[in-house]
Amino acid sequence: MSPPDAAALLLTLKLACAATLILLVIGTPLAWWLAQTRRRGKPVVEAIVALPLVLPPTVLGFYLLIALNPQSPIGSSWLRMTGDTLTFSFSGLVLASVLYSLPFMVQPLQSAFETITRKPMEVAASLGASPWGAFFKVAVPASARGFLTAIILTFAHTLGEFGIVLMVGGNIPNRTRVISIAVYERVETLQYAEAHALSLFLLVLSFSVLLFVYIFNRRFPIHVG
Amino acid sequence: MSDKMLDIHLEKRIGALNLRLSEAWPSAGVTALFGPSGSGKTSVLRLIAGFVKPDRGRITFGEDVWCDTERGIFRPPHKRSTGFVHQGGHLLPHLSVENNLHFAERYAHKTNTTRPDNTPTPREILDELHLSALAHRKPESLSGGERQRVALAQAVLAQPKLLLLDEPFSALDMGRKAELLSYLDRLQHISPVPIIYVSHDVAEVSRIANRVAVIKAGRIVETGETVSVLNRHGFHVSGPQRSGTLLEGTVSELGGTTELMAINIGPQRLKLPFDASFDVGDSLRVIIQANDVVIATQAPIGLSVQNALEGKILAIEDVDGTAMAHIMIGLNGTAGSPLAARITRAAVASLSLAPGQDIYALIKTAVLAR
Repeated sequence: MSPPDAAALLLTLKLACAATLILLVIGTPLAWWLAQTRRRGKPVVEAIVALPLVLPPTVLGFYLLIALNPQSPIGSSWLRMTGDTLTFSFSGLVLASVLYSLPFMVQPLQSAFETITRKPMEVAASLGASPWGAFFKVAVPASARGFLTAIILTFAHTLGEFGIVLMVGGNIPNRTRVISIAVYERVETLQYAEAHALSLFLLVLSFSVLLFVYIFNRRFPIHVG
Repeated sequence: MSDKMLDIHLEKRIGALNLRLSEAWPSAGVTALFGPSGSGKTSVLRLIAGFVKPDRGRITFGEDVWCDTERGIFRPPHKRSTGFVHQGGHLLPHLSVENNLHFAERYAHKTNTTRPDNTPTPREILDELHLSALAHRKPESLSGGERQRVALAQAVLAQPKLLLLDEPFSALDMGRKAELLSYLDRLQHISPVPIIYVSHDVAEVSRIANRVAVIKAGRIVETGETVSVLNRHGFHVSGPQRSGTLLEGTVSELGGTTELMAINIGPQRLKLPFDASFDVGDSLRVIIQANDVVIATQAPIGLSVQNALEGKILAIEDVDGTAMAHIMIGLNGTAGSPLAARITRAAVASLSLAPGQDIYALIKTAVLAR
C-alpha cells in the first residue's frame, strides 16, 4: 500500500473512531429516550433518526455543505471559534459522519433498551439504586450486546461512506481524503492495481466486522436500510 | 418495634379507576391489601413505593415525608427504603440469582451503615428458601415461582424499612406457598420489617396478615383485625351469603397417637389434622367452608365426625334460585364471628330449624387439612 493510500486509511480509521465515540455519547440517551417515551412526538424523532438510511448521501451532503459553509451561521461561528472551516476539513467530516451514521447507533440501542421493561429498573430503584446507578448497573449491562452491535455497525458504516464525504470534505490528501475516495480516485486515473488493494482491504474488513456481529449477536434485530 | 405510622391521604386517577385513600397503618406486622382484581391494590403499592406519583395528596412514613403534592415534595423510590416484589417476581435480567442477591446486599450496605447482626447473607437466605441449586442460573431460565422466591430474598436482603409484596405467591404451588408463608412468619420474628401485602386469596391472607384493608373500586372500605374483617368481606365470592368462616383459636393439644391436634375457640374445641409447625399455645386460624358444615339438632352419636360445636341459629336466609339455605350460627361462649353454614332448604324444613334454636354444627376434621 502506497504512503498516500496508507494516509487515507489512517484518516478513515480516525474518522470512524471519532464518529463512533461521539455517537455513543449522543446516541445512548437518545435511544434510551426513544425506548422509554410515550410522547406523541416519538415517531417524528424516529423518522428523523432513520432519514440517513433512505436519503441519498449526496442530498444530505448538499444540505450540510449549505449549512456548514463559512458564510452560514454555523460555519462562520465555527470559523471564529477554531480558525478553521467546517467544510473541507476533518471536523466537518466528523460532523457529517455523526449525522450520517446516527441510525446505526440509535436503532440497535433502542431495540436493546426496549427489551428491558420498566420492572427491572423499578427493582433496582427499590433496592436503593439511583436512576443513574440503575441505568449504568442494569440497563447498560443488560444491553451489552445491543451496544456491541451499535458500535460495530456505526464504525463499519462510517468506514464506507462516500457521497457525503465528497460533498462536505472534497478530496484533500491527509485532510479529507478517506479510503473510499482514494479508491474512486485510483479508478478514475486507471490505477487498478492500487484500487484493487484498497478495495479488497475494505471488503475483507467489512465482511469480518459483520461476521463478528452476526455470530456474537443474534439477539437484537439490526435494521440496515 | 417502632410505632411509626404509614399515613396515606391521596387521590390518583388511573384509567377508569379513581383511587382515593385516607389511611393510617401502624407500620408493624403484616397488613394485607385485599380486594378483587382491578380494585387498585397494585396501584396503592406502587404509590407507596414511589413508582407512581399521586395527583394530589401526601404520604408520610413516620417522620419522613415521602410525598406531598401541596409542598412539591416527592422522594424518589430509591430513597424510600421500600423493598418491592412485583407480581411476576421481576429480577435484574443480566445477573445470576446469586449476583441479584449480591446487588441487593451491596446497596443495603451503602445506605445502612449499621447492619443488624441478624441480617442473613445471600448464601444463608438461598439455603433457607431452598434456592441454593439455582444460585448460578439467570432469571430468564427460572420458573415464575422460583423468580418470586428469589425476588423476595432479594427484597429482604436490601434491609428495607417497609416491604411491599404484590401477590408474591401467585405462581407458587401449595407446598411452596406454605413454605414461604412460614418464612415470612419467621422473618417477622427475626427482623420485624412491616409488610404490606396484596392478595385476593382468603386462605393466604388468613394465614399471614395481622390486619386487613379491604379495597373495592379504588376505596378502602374497611381496615381492621384479620379475622373479623375477612369474615365480613372475605367470603362473599358468589353472592351476599358467606361461603366460609375464619375461626381463630389457641392450640391446646398436639399429636399423640391420633395424629390430630386441637384448638380451643373459647370454651369449644376443634380438632384438626396434626401440623408440625405449631406448638401448644400458638394461635391458629382455620377456614371453615359453609358447605362443609352439617347441622344437627341433637348431640351426635355414632358419627365419624370429630367436631361438634355448640351454638345457636342467628339467622336463616334462602339462597335465591337454588335449593340451598344459608345459616349463621353463633357459637356458644365465643365473642367471635358467627359460623356460616350452607344446607338444603329441604333440611331446614324437615328439621324445622328456626332462629334462636340450639344446634350442633358438625365439621369433618378431614376438610380442615391445611
